[in-house]
Amino acid sequence: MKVMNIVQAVNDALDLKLTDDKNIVIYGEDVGVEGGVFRVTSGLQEKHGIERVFDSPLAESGIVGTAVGMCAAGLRPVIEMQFSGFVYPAMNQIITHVARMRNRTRGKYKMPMVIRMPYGGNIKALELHSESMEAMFGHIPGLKVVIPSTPYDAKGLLIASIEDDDPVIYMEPKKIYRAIKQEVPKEKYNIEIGKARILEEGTDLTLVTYGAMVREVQRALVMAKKNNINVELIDLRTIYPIDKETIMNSIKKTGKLLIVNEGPTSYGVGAELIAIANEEAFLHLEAPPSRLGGFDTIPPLPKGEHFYFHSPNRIFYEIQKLINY
Amino acid sequence: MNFTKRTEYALRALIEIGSSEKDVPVKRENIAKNQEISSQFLEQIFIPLTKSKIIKSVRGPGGGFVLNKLSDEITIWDIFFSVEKTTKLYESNDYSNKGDLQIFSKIQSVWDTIDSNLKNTMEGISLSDIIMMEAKSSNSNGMKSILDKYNPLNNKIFNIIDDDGKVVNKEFLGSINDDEMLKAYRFMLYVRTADEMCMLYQRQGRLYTFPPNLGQEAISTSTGYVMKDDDWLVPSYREVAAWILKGGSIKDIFLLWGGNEEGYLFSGAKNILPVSVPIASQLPHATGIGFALNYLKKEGAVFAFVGDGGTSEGDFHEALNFAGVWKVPVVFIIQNNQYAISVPVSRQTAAKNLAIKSVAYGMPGLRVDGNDYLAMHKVLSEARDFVTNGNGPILIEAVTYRKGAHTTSDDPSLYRTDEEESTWALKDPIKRLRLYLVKKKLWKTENDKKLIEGYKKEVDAQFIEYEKSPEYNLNDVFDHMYDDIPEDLKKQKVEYEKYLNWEQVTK
Repeated sequence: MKVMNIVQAVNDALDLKLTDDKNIVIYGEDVGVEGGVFRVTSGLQEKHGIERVFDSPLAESGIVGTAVGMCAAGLRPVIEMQFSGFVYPAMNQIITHVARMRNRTRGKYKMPMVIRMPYGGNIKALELHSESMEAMFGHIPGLKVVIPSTPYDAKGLLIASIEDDDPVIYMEPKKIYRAIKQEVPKEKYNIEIGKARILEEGTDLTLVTYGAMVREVQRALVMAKKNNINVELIDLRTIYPIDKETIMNSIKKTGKLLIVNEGPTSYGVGAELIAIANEEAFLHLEAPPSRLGGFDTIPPLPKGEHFYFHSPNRIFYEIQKLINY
Repeated sequence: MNFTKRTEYALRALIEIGSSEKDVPVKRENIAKNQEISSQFLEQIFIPLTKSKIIKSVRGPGGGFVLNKLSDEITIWDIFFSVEKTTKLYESNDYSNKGDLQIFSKIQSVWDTIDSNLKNTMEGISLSDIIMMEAKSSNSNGMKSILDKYNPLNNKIFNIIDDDGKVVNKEFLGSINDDEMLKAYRFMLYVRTADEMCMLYQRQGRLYTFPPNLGQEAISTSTGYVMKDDDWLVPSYREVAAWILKGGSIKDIFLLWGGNEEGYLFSGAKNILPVSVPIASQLPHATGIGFALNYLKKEGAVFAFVGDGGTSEGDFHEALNFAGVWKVPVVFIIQNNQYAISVPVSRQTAAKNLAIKSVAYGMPGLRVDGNDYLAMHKVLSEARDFVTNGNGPILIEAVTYRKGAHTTSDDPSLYRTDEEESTWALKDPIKRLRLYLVKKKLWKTENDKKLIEGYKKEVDAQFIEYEKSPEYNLNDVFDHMYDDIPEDLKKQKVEYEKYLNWEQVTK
């Protein structure tokens, strides 16, 4: 075991897989010499060579589009979008080829690539560095969308993503890149994509969250406990395919559902989870399944971002509301 | 190895002497100048060559050196022995003082075997053989020379035959023989027949929207014939000849435009991506495949297609830019058919041509008469050699004309004139190759009719066969989305099946 933060855990997973499989290449903007703007790929070029870990020209569509060709010809590229806010030029490639190639060639060409990108806000960053657009990817048939919240999960989920024969959007919660340290096994292990994890068992309310929000929710739960509110906390870990079963079983137990996430509320992951509550656990519901998402606004620049991103207090407020319904 | 520069220089000098007109002496100074070898060094080499009676000097005005024997009596071994003064190609070590004599004597016999094999090989090659040899990469009519003479910056366009099938550029003729030309001609006729039949089927409601290839057959037919088995084809959507020559079938074409994903995969062909609908988005894939070929140290070139309108897309720029940086073996082919649906090239770019765009990506570019089969074949075979020899990518602008509509839903009369269409009709690629073949007495125009009749029957038989294909199955909608179908997706299918059952029962 070794104590790691999320940056180190992701780096460790990449290192192990590069060693493991010669068909893996890593590229993107600044990922080579510099090791990425967050240093996630630090030291990998030195260790595995410039042929396998390298800086590409600055063009997101080119990065994703070339990865499509590499997959067709037998490689397994792990590419980086420097920030999720810069992925938009590549959306054409992601939607029209990455997500569809397997289906339109009836399985002849698979797209075993991972597109890594830091996402999320409340970090006093520039414009377009704070968004949380996972629902957009979740809405594209053919993709898998994964978001870890701990170093342990970050490593196991990334290894599983790289080994998956389908394309995976792997979103890294940059606010907690270095905020959490945890003992992580040195060796390779997989965490199954599509499986949520119950972090805390409870009976009064099911709270589903993921990514950087897990930590904020855990702080809110300290307040809840003081008020004798017994919350079952679920870390979703995969946005698509979503783990209906875990969520459904929990709602059946607690009768109440609250989703906490950063992205815009309308048409968001919260909406999907409420649909699951209605379709799968309707007769068990004791209150309207509810969501605390971001406003349907542009995330404000740093001076205003405290309005947008959820504080533990705001989360506790929503928990109370639902408990007292 | 005991080969030194002396052998190489001696060979170069002897090739020059041996290639000169019979018994006309060649001056040492001229050889020195032509071959960029110092005259003194050449003199040192000429002394042993003279002694060995390989050359002799002729005195007086107009003097110089001539061969002293017939060129087929001089072997490389003679030359080597003369200038290097050794009979050993490998310098043997002195093994007598070494510990394990048995092992060293074994090694010595390996050297001896290699030595004697090399000697045999060298005795088997005469100076005359070398002189007669085809230059490996001919400088006089190879890619470099084409690129030098047809710089797109000067708006030059490469062609070999004119509109009447007359050869206007003899020096570049000869990348294919008569049989290959006839084969290509017949195939273009086949593709045109199939194309016209598809238009017919579309009008009969037996196919959906169809983009005809009419008038552009020379480009994708030449690509198809130039491609080797290991090469990759990255299509746009108007290269039906290349798809079939790569191993696709006419049935795949029917499946595709008949509305079934099965047509995308070209099941019988290897190394071909599916037809790509989002314009230019396929070009980065070609670059990525090129990267993989280099990375995996695999043989092969990538042939990637785009239209003139596609050159305005960001992905055109990104793909070519990445390709230049990564030095990938990709031949990018722009089929400039003058229109992106209704928008002419002059509305796409202010550049004077499209090949010129290569300059910014650090790769060569060339404009070719895309309706000249011989020019296309020549350029693409040279381009293939060029990219597979580690020179990086190349951009070919094939200038052509879409004689038909963009697709079966388009009406060209809205954006082009009869006059323009009839001007381009004179440049039809099939007509031009036919006139050339007729002039060469390889073909008779009246043969066309019978051939086309045969093709029509063949295409129609296959279309009828295609129409018997199994129906689209509900599983086909779901089964290829993921490696393992997610539970939720399975449930969507199950729910639909329940509905189907209900429908069945309530009927």
